[in-house]
Amino acid sequence: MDNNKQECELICGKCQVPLQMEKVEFNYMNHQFRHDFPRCPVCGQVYIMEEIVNGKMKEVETALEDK
Amino acid sequence: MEINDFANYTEACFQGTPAPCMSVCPLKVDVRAVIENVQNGNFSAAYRLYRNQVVFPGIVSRICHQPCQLVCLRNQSDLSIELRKIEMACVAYTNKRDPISFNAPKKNKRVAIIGAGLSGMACANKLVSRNYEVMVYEKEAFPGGALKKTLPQEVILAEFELEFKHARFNLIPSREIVDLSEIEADAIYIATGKNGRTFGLEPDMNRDSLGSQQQGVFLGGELIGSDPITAIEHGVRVSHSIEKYLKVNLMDGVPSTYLKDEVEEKYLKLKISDPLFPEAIDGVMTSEQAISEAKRCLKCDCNICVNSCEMMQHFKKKPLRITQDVMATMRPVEQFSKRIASRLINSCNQCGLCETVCPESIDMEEELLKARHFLFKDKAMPAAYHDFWMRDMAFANSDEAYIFMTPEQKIKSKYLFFPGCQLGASAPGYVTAAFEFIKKLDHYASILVGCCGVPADWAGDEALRDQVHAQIASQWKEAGEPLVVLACPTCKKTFSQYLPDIKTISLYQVMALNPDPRWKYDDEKNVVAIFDPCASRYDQPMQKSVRSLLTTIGYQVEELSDQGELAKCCSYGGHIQAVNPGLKQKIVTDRVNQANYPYVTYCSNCRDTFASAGKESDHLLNLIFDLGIESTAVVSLSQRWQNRIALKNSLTGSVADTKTVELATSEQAIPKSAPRLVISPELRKVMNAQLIMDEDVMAVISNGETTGNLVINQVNSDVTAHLTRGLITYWVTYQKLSDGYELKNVYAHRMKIADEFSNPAAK
Ligand code: SF4
Ligand code: SF4
Ligand code: SF4
Ligand SMILES: [Zn+2]
Repeated sequence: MDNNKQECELICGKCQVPLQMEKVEFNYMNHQFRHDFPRCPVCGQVYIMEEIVNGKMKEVETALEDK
Repeated sequence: MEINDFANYTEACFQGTPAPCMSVCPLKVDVRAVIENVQNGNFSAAYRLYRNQVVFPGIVSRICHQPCQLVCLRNQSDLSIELRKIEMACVAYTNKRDPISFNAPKKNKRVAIIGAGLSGMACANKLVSRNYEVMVYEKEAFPGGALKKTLPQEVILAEFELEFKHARFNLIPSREIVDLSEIEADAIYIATGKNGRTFGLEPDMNRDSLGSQQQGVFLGGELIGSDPITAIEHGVRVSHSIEKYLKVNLMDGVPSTYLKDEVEEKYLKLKISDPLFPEAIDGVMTSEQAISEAKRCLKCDCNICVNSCEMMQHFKKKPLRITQDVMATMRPVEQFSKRIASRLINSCNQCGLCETVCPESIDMEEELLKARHFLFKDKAMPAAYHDFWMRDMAFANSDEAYIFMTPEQKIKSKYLFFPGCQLGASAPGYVTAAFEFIKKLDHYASILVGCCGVPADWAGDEALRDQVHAQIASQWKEAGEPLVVLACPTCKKTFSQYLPDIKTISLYQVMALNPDPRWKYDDEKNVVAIFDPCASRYDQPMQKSVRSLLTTIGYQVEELSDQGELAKCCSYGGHIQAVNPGLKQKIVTDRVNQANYPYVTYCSNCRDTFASAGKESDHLLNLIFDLGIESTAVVSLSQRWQNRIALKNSLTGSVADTKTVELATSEQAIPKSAPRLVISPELRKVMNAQLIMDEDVMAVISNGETTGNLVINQVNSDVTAHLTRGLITYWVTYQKLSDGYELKNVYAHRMKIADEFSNPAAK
């Protein structure tokens, strides 16, 4: 994912450390799942870019709503 | 309401029932399907369908007496379709007419057929294809029976030879059966033709199964008075009756083969297109002639509602199928089926056009609304579908925006003005100017600014809806039960449905009855097209008044094709935006492309929807009261909330002493101290489409700035913050300015991040 390329350019504003790809847990409509996203290794802050939100994530949301 | 009751909604729908021609066709040729193929030049495919029904296409296409012509709906406007000639063309232009060979398992049963006419041969053909042993006894030297009088013998023999190509049977010519005991067989079909021998079995025979009183013996065809085409059908029917008899020893046949030939009368309600006379053709049509004759066929079926409704088109589903899916959605089988129609149910604009156009008045609006109520009660309504509108309604009915004012003196109001919650949100001036007008008619008029409750109804929340209505009813009583003046067609529809005791009138009707010389007159006699909001379809006086008002102030009025009773929804109805943004977009595009003239409408949601799509459109009140609102001015979602606050300020600030209400301008509403948000028009569009408000953006930024939970892009120094508010997580990328923020991007999702700020390294 494009998130990979970006992660080294991104730093956590609070901890001042670069983000790293880490598992992030999500839930929606009583379903749980995990995916790797850039994340602050210290405080756990997550970054999700727009392409993913309006792409894959929207698809999953739609699928769950139709379930 | 029980789930099964939902079936009642579409019970009377006749979509998909046999067309009139097919109903009276003795062989039940599926005319619509055959014609569809011919229209596309697909003669072989048409031929296969035809062959399967008629058994001997080369014969039937020459001799059919065409009962279909008597009932063809085309006949009402010009001439019936020449189906027989089209069918002849199918035979002529199919290169490989060989029948398909079947590999049915061999049955150890022997059937005897007496008479090798059309009926006997049809029965033989069907039984042989199912691998029964068949003996056909014919008293003449050649098969064909009465056909010999109408067709040359070569034609008859060639057709039989072709259709029995893969099917062996024993034809015993020149053998007249005088007594059934001459035959040894497990079942017998007597098809001896007109005035043929009945062996005394016709009395008391079963006219459905064609079985006689004697076990295993059946009669049919011209022997019992049928025409030659029906004789074939008898042969086919008897083949099924015999098969059943041989399997289970019953003589009562197969009910699905007792074909009725009644025409569904509902078809007569369909509109026939303009006259289109056929070419007169002798002999076999050329393929082009056949195609053009096929194109005259209307493939009669009811599709009226589907043709009017983008939602049904989007889902490619018709009412009967929708009802099935709705019912399945209400009782999903754990793990197996899904809430398949949940999105469809919430994609309906609640416009009511389907019921208006349906010859059976089938009301999908109500069905789908009741389905929403059901899903809500079942806690199966995806919360994000209606969340934005529920918050919008809550705000409209909150202290910040809700207004109820009655005259201070205990004088009864004649009018209570109820502008609805969206009119003042679009621009406060609409409401203040209209109220000023009403106060000239009734100095002691009351006003109630709030939501009519329809968003709750659309969201399926009946209790909340009822609560809103109870409040309206009680304040109406408090005001002395005045006549309620409504500015929004949807409020009016809602009142008449849920608050029938309250007498209402549309603002436009009141205005048309009381014209004011100070209204802004259009000297240029501009041409405008009236866009009737869908909720106005039930209120002709309102629609008429709007036209008369526009003419009064000098405009030339053009009518759109979908107007009056046939008004279509602008896309706002039913709150489908968060449910089906693609469909919403499609509907808006369809609407704005109906005419090049600027639109004038009398629902602020229609006006704002079109303006957002770049279409010049005005609310009627903007023209009349000269409010100076640009025809393409877009109101942002946050502005709408600010406008409501501003409206409340201006009304409560000035009405007490009944001075002229000052128009609230939008600038007044935004607190001067707030940081500046710089939002490009493109981003603004994205925010409006995704229902993201400035308040959401500000909340994300200030949360990020105060907690320091920000992500910084080191290359371009963009800052990204996010925050979950209610059901939605918002993301904002921005640059800090000295007095505010410049937005680079805004997006949002419904999924929740479950484990943020828990230190992953610590796990
Ligand atoms: S127009 Fe076509 S489908 Fe309709 S009745 Fe005539 S032949 Fe049948
Ligand atoms: S208009 Fe629609 S609902 Fe009504 S009969 Fe026709 S197909 Fe059925
Ligand atoms: S109410 Fe309107 S949007 Fe809903 S099904 Fe009927 S025509 Fe379609
Ligand atoms: Zn951090």
